[in-house]
Amino acid sequence: MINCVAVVGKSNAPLFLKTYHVPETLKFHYTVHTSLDVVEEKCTIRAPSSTVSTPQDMYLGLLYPTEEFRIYGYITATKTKFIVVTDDVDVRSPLMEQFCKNLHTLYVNMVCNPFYAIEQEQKIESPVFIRQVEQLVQRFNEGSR
Amino acid sequence: MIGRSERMCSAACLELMHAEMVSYFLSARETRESAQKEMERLGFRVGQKLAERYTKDYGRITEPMEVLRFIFSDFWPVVFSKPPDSLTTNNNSLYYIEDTDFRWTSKISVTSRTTLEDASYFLTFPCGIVKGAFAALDVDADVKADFQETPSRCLFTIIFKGKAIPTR
Repeated sequence: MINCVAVVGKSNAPLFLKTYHVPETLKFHYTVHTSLDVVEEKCTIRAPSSTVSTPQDMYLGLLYPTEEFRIYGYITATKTKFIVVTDDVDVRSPLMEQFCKNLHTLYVNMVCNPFYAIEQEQKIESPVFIRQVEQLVQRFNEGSR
Repeated sequence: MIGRSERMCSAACLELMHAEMVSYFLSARETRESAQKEMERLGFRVGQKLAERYTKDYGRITEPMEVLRFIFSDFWPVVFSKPPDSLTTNNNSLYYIEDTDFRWTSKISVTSRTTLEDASYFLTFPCGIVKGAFAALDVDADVKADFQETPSRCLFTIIFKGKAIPTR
């Protein structure tokens, strides 16, 4: 079950963080913040096959596990990061990748909202985006049960 | 290729709107410089958002050279309806993209009452778009454009700021 979805901007500013089925939000802020270091670390490692520079995968896979949660990461070409926290022990990786890709599509559509100023790294308040992410999480949680 | 064939929009509509935008800014702003600045800023924002969109299925690009390749061979053909003709460089930080039939300005014809300079304002917005796309992909670059004799032949100069990029 996905417990938290976060979008972090280019300069590591939190743009969006929502928790699902958990009472407290604060500790997820902490978790997401910690995971950014891992994202950075993963980004510096290039796939060994690519001596010639080729586009890298955006999906970073499992960042690290904690006692209760597993944290997954995704980074776009524009350095926007998506962090997904789940309490499932064995998440099928293609499913998580698909979830991140869908989230990316929602984000891209949200960016095209004329009321969203991308250069100011505004907090995402779009009700449409919030609702769509919630639906996405719900679908994922139902599928993984 | 980024764009999908079923997702087409009217190029004529876009070009006409762009032409109206240019003439609006030139008449509404006090100086031509401020009009130019404003148009570039608008283009920059558009470019940022387009880059966000068009890199979605492309993958993560990290090196400035890859960004340049993406802009040249993927971004440009979709945004400006046709691939540019050549990409050249003279040293470590200057790159030239030449488009001998730049669609956004190819219908401009300079009459006796206008000059090539009047036509050059039609390149400000496209410059801003390219600049914004570079910025969104974390490459600090300045983009300038000039006509090569006629308004349909354009030479875009990309000046990489910051660290020099090794040529291959």
